[in-house]
Amino acid sequence: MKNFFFVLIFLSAIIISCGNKSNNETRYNLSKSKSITIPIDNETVNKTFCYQFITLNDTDYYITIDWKTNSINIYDFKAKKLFRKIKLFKEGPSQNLGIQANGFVVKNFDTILIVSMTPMNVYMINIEGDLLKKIDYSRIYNGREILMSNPSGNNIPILNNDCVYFTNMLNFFKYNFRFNQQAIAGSRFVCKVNIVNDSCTLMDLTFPKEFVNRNLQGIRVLRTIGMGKDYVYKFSYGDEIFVTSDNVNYKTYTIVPDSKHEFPDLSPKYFYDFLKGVEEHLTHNEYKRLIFDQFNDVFYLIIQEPITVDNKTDLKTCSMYPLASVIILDKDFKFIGRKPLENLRYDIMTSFVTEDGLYISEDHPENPDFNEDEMHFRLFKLEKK
Amino acid sequence: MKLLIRFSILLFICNCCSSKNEMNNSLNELFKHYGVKLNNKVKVIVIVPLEGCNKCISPAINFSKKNLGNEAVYFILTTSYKKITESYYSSDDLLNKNLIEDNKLIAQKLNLTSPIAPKVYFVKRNKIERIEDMSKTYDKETIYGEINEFLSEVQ
Repeated sequence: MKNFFFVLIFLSAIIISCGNKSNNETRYNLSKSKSITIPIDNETVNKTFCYQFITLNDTDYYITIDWKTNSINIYDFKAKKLFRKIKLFKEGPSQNLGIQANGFVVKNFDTILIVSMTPMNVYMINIEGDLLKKIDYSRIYNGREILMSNPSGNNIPILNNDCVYFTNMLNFFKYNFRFNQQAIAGSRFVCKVNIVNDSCTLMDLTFPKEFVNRNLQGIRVLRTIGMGKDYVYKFSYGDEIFVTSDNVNYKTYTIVPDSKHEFPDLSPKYFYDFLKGVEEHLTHNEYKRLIFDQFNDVFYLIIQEPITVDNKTDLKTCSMYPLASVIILDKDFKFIGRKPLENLRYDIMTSFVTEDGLYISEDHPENPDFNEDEMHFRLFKLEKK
Repeated sequence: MKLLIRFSILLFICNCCSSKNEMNNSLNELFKHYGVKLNNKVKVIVIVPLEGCNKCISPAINFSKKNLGNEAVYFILTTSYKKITESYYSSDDLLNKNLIEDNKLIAQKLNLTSPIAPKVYFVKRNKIERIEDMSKTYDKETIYGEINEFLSEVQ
């Protein structure tokens, strides 16, 4: 009888442990590694909303916009120093480019593309700051039910096959914040500007049909180019990922994370009460960044974790530098790990992949190492458990 | 029913008073942190989040430049970046005692400012009389006109 019970318990343990090995098995981790410090000049701040890591002629560059000085700063990442600063307003009337940069993407030093929202132009400049071309993309918006989103933050322009892609948001006022089938059908949210023939196209891809009748106010588009040059779209709320090769048809994948995510109420009531809206967002999850690691064939999905808000919570700092974790997904978008990040330490909105691993900015104003004359990046290396 | 209405009005008044009292304490804490004693001369306190939206903060910055050295108006310049403060104000401007650089973000931590726009506190006899959240008004210039009127009234 005693043996029978032992066998029963043993079998139950095996069954339970097998049952736990579901889709959300944690097999990978991100281990904290070295930190990199790059000094910055006395007019630049270490907070940027648009940046790019690029390797050109075997040199790694980290490129940022500094909005205060309206300049593009190019840093040699390995040498840890400023390589070039391109001031977008030049001295003298004939040379004044008059460019207000909202976003940018660099192909090489002869093709630096600046996206401006007012006026709606893509400017092509070179590393000397010479204006090579100006493409007016405002015609895309004529008579449409879409609004341009700021090409920065999680919406940095991407360059693929001589075309710059940036995304739009829906005109939620027109649909009283809830999108019916007709609204979704008109929600072509991807703009393509061809820098060779200057054509501007609104791609056929619309917000997914899964979003019909959902509240979408404030939803953000995260996207990257993944395996086989497919475009991978993720929205700030919801666990679905949408993959398209032609920006017309898409395939939906659903992430099965290790813990359930709770997303905020996006109903219009918070639109008219800004602070309550901020509180609602901080007490819920929100996807913030989607990054493809082409060296390991994995995706990093940075998600804001909920916090408790009381009257002593610094809403601004908590929104700009949220508590977060990095979800690791394999190339088929299966959950393979999660790395919770320390609170009050990182600026997750500045994060990028290099051959070394995932770098996340440590320029959080509450970080004891914060220094406004330096940029700090922490390396995280992908490891199998 | 009448009793209920009176009770609700009383509750509303109490709530307003306690919220203003809390703000009073927070303002005192903020000034104490920067070693400034709030005296009877202070009539208006403008808290400016210098990393806020440009359109929202510009009128406040212009207003502060017209009131450099005016002990009746204090400006709390909230940003963790000294560089941002220095991009708006010269080192001579910053010598004025009524400009307080809040690089430790104390005003934010005490919830005295809105994340993107200035908040204005009208003070009478060391007590907050009115609070204007500039993120909730389109006509910001009118508020600054009202500040001027308030300053001339209480002088």
